[in-house]
Amino acid sequence: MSNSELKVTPSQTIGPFFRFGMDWIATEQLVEEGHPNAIVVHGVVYDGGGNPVPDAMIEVFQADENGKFPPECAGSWSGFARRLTDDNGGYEIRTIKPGAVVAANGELQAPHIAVVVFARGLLKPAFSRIYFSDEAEANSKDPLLNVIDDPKAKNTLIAVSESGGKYRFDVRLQDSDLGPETQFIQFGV
Amino acid sequence: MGSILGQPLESVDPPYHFPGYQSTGLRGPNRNPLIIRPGDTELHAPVFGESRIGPNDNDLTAQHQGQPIGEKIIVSGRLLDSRGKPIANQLIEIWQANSAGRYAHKLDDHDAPLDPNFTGGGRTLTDSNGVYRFTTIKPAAYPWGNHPNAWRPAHIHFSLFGTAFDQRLITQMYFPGDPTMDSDPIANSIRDKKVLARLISDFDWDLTISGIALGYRWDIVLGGPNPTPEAK
Ligand SMILES: [Fe+3]
Repeated sequence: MSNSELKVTPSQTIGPFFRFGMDWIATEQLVEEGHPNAIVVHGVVYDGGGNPVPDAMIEVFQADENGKFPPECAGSWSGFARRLTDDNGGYEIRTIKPGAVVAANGELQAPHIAVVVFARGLLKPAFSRIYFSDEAEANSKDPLLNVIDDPKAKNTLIAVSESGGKYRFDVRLQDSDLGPETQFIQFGV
Repeated sequence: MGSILGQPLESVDPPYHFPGYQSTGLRGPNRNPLIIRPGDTELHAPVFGESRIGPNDNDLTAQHQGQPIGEKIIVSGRLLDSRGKPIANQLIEIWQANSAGRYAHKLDDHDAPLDPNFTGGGRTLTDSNGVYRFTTIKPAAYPWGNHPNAWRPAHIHFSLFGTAFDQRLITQMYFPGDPTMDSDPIANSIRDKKVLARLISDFDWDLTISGIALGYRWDIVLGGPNPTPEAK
């Protein structure tokens, strides 16, 4: 095969009217209710005015408990979930904390979930990651968290542990009275 | 061991902020993204098996009792990575307005008729050569509130997965020769006309079915910093 690079297809907004096309897998959970290690990640997507965004789509992708991904992982683990935000901009996903996986530099990473946000008004996806506030030791050694100098920006990636196995992870598309913009990620070489 | 910080790839995507498209104002991120080389998580992708796809999921004209109104079309092409390697057995989802320019969505208040025989959502898996194929109805242009006399050119929304999560893409396929294209701020948020042209399908006689359907061909190339390895 030649090294010539094909012309990559550009992004367009998901628009406002995606619900009926995207909802067929939008209620699936990553683990069943009652799973011994089940956690719930939930939050709200906000715009730069501090308004909830009711027409956003959030997708997550993560390793299983052993740090494995499909198709290598056991059972029917898809690693993937999709949510369409509700009228109040909210979303909620039942999953488990993933096992450790390695970064591009070979170092082990703290448990994390890849997340991508689409919305009317977003002309391209906004990628980020969800880490966990009760993994302080692992987080302190994470190669991605450690290249973020601004502690406020770093905090936007860390879901806050609540009671009952719940974690709060809000997405702020811009700075607002509610807090700083989520630290978004772009993938490079 | 080195840092995971990376250099950005040359981007073909529109910017987060495009003044002509009003909704970008409060929603487009303003801060600089963190540019990293993807680690394990973003180098894998979800796998959607054959069992997830129903028999009429790729034929949007066969999902109800009767035939939808409008011009029946075949939309087909290949899903490739930037090295030209087919992305096999991966999910492609589409959604669109009907032949009157109306979405089956509760918030679409465009005064055009709904079609009881057309919902406008579909999905399929690519085959081993990365080929996908949908049967549908040509969607119509529709008005929107962005600016006076704003019309979206006819388009089909496409949702795409690659072999790495960092390739996740949602975009829109347009039709050749659409007179409203030049005044559409969403399309023209892509400033380079040659890049925008990659979103315009080609009319293709080879895809037509005599007496039944016209055909449009549209190939999709997913970017991302780590195209599929040649072999595992
Ligand atoms: Fe649309």
